[in-house]
Amino acid sequence: MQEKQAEPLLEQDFMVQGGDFIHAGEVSSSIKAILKEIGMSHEVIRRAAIATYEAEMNVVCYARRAAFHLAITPERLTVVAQDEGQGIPDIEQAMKEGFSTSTREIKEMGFGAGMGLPNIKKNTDELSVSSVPGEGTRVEMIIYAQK
Amino acid sequence: MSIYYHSIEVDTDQCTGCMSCMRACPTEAIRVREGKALILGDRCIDCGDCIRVCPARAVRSMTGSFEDLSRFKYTIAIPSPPLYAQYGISITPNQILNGLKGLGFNEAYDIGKACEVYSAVIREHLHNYSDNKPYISTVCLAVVRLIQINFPELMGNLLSMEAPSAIAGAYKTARARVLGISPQDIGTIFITPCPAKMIAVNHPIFKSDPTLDGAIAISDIYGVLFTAIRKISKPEPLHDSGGLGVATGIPGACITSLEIENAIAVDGVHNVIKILEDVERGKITNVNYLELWACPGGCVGGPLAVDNPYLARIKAMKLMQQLGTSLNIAPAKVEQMRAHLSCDVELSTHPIQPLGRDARDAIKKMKERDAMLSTLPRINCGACGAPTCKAFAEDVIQGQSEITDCIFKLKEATMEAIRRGLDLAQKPPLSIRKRGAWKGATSDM
Repeated sequence: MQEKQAEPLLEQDFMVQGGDFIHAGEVSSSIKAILKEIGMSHEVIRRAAIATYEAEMNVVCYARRAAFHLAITPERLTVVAQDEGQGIPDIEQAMKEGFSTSTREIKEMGFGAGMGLPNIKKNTDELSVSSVPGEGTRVEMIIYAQK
Repeated sequence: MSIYYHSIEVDTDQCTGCMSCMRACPTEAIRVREGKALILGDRCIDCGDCIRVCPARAVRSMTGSFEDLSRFKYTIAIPSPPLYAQYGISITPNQILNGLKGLGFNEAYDIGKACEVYSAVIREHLHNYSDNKPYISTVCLAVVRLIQINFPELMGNLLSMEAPSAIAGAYKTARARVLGISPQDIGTIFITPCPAKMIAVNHPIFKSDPTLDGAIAISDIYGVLFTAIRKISKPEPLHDSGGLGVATGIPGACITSLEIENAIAVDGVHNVIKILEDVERGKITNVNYLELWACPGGCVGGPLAVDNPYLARIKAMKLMQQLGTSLNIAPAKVEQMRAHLSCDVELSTHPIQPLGRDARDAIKKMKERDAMLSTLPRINCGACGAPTCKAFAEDVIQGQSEITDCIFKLKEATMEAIRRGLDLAQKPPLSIRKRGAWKGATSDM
């Protein structure tokens, strides 16, 4: 059982459009700016920026659109990305480094190296991924404010 | 926090409060107060964009003047490589060095050799280490400042090495021994296109002691140096470095000599900010080395340089071709140079202070600020003296400004006061109110 978490001090929603490579990374930048203003440690900011950016890129490369929800408590920050898209049939496989289902086009753009989810895992303290193939994927990323 | 040195100042007698600098500042480090520009020390990165745009010439570099020379018994001029590209192609680096002697310096020292060895030191470092990729060059001090303030989490990516001019410290010691005088009596004066170089003089980042004793702006020396060059009758051979020593400061010029794949050069502070954001979010994964320059065009585009940066660039590249770019430097020399350049202090960061004393307080203030921002016009007119409505809302929340400093808020408050006044004016005195005989003032008066 997960212990009950304190009410978030701050919550914010962001939208990400599939295929929008130009604006990919803006959610990551916005979250980074918020964390800096709050005075989170450099390490937390760095990890959050990387994890959120990877999640954004997953949406841009593979999904139609996604809602990102940021919640901050003094102990942790949580980013939930819920997308509408093809979903992931085998999550275990997708978590392996180097595994990718990306198209040649996406690989040619320099993405789709199969490092997305593994990199998110590396930069978060808790990660849960659930997916309904054909409907979408939900990625919940948690980073502890202090370790 | 320790005193944080800056190399740009506003001459308040000259400043007209026109806000050009406030709008140009890439880090929102300028406010206008009481009709004068005010630089916020904790946000300024010394890039000098404000100097470039000031129509009243009120924003100035705190570089020195010729009077500095009298502080020393023996003076050594150290021209930054961009100086070599400031005049016509027919004026050679050797003539420029001789011209500097003609101006009254006891010596003119070419750091071109140091620049070449510097490239060799970086090359060796990049070939031997890969733990903090991409490594970021530290030649541009405004970029180093930018990282200290706005990207503190990237401090580990900086090469922990001072710029080639750091060799001046070692050279001074050696000369003192030869001349039989105390190093304190020798002044090493950098001839600079860049105000940020004053950091190395007054508040070095990588070294515990300053490596230079002063700096004079190229723009302050340009004319007199030209005259001095024309007066040279018997030039001494003073210049002996190769092309890299001349082209250091031109974005990308030295990259090929590093013999490393995926090294990129980026110039212009806004482009630099963009690429640092990309590094921060992990987008730049295959790049080994970033050469970053705050000024468009690199050092030849410095705010204290005189010639058009694109013309200067062509001249520097031509000189580089003529002089050759081989980097055959003895390993012992590289070793020695690394010792002179290597950082001997712990690098400090100066991150922008969070909005509150802890997360809870900061989030409360952030919400207040954002709520206030939503009531502001958000056209960033600047009349309040802050560069954006967001910056203004933050200034208000932090007690630095009042809400009626916004001209639109002032209009609203005035309107409200007028409305209240009208209501009051229409209210008859109690003695006659019931009879309703007195009509009072009406709004269409």
